[in-house]
Amino acid sequence: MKRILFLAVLLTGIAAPTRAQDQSAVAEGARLWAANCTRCHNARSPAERTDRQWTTIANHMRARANMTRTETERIIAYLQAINLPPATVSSVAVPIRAGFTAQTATAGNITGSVRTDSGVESISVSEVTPSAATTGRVVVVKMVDKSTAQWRFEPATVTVRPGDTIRWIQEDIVPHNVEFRDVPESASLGDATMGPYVIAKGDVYELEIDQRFVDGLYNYVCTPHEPLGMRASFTVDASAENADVRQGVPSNR
Amino acid sequence: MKHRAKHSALLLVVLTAAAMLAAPARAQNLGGPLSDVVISGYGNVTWQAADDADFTNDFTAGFSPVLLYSLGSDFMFESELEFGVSGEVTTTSLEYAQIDYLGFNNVVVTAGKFLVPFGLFGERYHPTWINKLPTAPGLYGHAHGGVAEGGAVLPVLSDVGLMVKYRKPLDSGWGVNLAAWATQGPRAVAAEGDDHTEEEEAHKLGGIAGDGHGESVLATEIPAVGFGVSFPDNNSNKMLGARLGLVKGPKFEIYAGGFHARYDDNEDLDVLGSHLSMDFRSNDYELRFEGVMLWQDVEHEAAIEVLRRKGYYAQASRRIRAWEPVLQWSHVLESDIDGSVASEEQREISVGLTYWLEASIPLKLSYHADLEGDNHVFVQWAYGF
Repeated sequence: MKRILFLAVLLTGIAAPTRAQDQSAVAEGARLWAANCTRCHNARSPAERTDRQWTTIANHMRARANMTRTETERIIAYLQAINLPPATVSSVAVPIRAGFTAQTATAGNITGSVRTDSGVESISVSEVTPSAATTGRVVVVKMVDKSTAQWRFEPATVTVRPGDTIRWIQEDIVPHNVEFRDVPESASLGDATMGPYVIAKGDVYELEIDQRFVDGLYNYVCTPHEPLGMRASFTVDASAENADVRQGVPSNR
Repeated sequence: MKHRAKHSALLLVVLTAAAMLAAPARAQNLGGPLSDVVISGYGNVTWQAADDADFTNDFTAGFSPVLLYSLGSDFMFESELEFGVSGEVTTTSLEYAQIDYLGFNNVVVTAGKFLVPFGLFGERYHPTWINKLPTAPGLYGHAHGGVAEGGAVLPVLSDVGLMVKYRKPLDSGWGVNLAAWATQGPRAVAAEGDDHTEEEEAHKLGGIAGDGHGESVLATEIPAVGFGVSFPDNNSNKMLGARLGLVKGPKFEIYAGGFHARYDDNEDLDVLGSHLSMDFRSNDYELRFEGVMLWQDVEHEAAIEVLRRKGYYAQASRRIRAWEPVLQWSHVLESDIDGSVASEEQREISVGLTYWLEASIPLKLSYHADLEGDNHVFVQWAYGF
């Protein structure tokens, strides 16, 4: 009996009641999601469940995977932030704002939704302004998961010149983003340090290699899938010959 | 005995009260926007063939619905049923039915019937859409679809009681996980003379049979030990156990734990278990190890002797796009009582290949070579939803 009481007192004594909530820590939630959920099983698409269901499931997994309340709330915040309905039109995602936003757009008119901290906003913009210099070239990088936990950017390395645009294309249904990890010291990426989540298959995220970028190596990751190996890099080289995309898929705009 | 029972009941009341008092003003969450019900679960169909003269091939199927209900942000009810059909036998079991209190930041308090966190396979890896092979490792018996086979050290443990889990995140992605539980515990199951069940006969001295989630039976001359709620408790002694783990993100986990209980009517006979579990994951690779040791007091020739049982398995797998080859070595070592062999060792190598149709739909093919007996081929199609 003494053993039981000792154990109970020990464990209840270290239980600090707290309801710390940091709903803005979605990035941390993405990392926690990868670190905890994939310990046992493949990552499921956030689109499989509603926001409310993810709350229930996350609480269920908290008990099973031994997570704190704060960690669980951040995972819920991440899942709900990227749990947008799939695009219903042939779409092009444009990184209007940095952070945890996502949107879909037709080639000429944006029609879709944007996820912000305050919820989902419907948007309708009459014209899309190209985000890349018309003189540059487009380098395509695929965001691949194939629903089988093969998380990668394809290709993993590319070389671009100033004025080019890198276009990341969502190849499957699990949302991905581009978060820079190591960049040249004099680069100033600002909001582009962490790009929006690209939600639906076929959506894209474009980044123009403009004055924010200097020559050098840029290492980036997909925030939630970095622990699963989804890392890549590109090199900006103003002296590269032939506009040169040594790897990647050149595409005419 | 009644005195101990009162203390146990008092303990439950005190812990429940402590949990409630530590969470003031939570009532407004009840029925709030976070409340919801989720139906989840998994199922499988398995085909098995063997080079056994008494067995050619067979289909089995299993279905395990899971119901989750989140009552506000602090309370959670979760349960899982398991239905399995194999030949003429249909099995049903309640794998867990538990209430979780989630109001603490670092602690989850669970009451009810839950999967005992002894080892990792039983707590986390045994669902067929998660398990990389169609069967369970030898030390847990080939439990699948709710039906266990013999030769195991332990079944997947599910028991009724109280559990507390604690987590302390550390720097650089590391964390300490602690779990402790007090459950009804095992009980002695009287031998029935010559009227043994088919499973009991199959396992002989020191063997274990069970449904994989409740009872296990040490057959014939050795007193049987039953875990879980398939039997009424025969004494006031509770199983006490704990598990300590060190975790780094998805890459590395190591756990060590143990339990103690007395299982006979007079509370004279101890049963002790210990385990060590490790898991290492790289981008495409996973290496897993689990080892279990069990010590059980038995009355043998007018003296109390100790039956020792132990087993382990090591598993390696690699993801190659949608394919995942798996290699597992499973070894249940010879058990003994005071130097006398109680059961022979069992060694098995399993080679499997899984094709992931979707993230939760594996199609598995595996070959199991039992170095002391029969060989088996399994094909399993599982589905998690």
